[in-house]
Amino acid sequence: MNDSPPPNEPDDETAFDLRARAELALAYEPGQPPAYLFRHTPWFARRAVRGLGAALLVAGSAAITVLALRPPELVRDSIEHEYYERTLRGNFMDPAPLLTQLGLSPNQVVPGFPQLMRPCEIEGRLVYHLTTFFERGGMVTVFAFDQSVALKNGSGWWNNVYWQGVRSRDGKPLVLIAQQKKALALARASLAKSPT
Amino acid sequence: MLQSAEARYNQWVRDHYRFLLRSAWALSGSRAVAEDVVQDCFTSAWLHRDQLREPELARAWLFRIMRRSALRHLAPGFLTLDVDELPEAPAPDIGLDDRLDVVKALARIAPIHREVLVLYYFDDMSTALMAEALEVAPGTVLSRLARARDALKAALESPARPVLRLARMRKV
Repeated sequence: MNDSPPPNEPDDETAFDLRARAELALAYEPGQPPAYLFRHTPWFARRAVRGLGAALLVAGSAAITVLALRPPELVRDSIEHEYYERTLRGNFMDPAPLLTQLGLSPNQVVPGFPQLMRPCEIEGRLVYHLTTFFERGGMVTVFAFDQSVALKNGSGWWNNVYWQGVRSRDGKPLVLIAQQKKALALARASLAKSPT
Repeated sequence: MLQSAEARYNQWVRDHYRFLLRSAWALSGSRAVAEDVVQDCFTSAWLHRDQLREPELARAWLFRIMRRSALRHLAPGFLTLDVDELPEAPAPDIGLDDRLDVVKALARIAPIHREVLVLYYFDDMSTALMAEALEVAPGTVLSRLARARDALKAALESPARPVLRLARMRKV
């Protein structure tokens, strides 16, 4: 029965092996692989595309958020101006015209402890710059525009400071900038027209 | 050239489907079961595609997955054979009485022998690859192959008497 020696290597073919190989080769005809075994991921379901989509969604949301927080250009320029003159101190003008511009009586005392009073220029417009310290709130910078500007009332947080656009007691636009919200509230109470 | 995972997988299907289906069919005796087994095998291969480090071992690796899938599908009736499921194609150069003798004989030997013969006769795999596919040492492959051939010869010589060795798939 076992007249042929067992193979030492699989390629030690015998007549029996040839017969078995030939019969088995024809016995099982598998056909071609069915289509359902292949994978065809649609382009929009690919990981890279989905990752890109998610990244675009996040970037879009971030851009929308930034745009929603972004103040008007006049306010942005005011914030930038405040940043560059934050450490500047001194009275470079008479307080009377400044108080008039702020909608206060020229004989009145400047609210808080004034740190800086000077006429400046923002976007080519003359603006009165007052930086004053409120003991219970902190430092506030007020910009009072000499000419009429299109500035709606509003508030927000931009470039690491709080800002607020208000109307003075005589209806002129003011931009208030402070690092603490509490200071902004005190300045508004001192300068802005009451809501009535 | 770098291939995407999907392209590599589809190449596996193209290159190895026929071999795997024939192997599963020969192991199970049923084409329907074999198709399920091979489908499971490719699903598993896709899920664990990163485990294959050497592309030249793909066939042995896929056979290993298929073999495990076959064990899951077939146990405990792995030794049974549905004669109606036998392939209908006659073997070449043999008489009508000898039709599919080897196929029937293969179905009657122990699964542990059947699987090594499937690898040997269907694919002509090297000993090293067979060892990889069967998860045994190369020496074990050779000794198992010798015993399997003897068992197949015995089954062919006494077709009426089943030659079922109750050897387990996982033991030598």
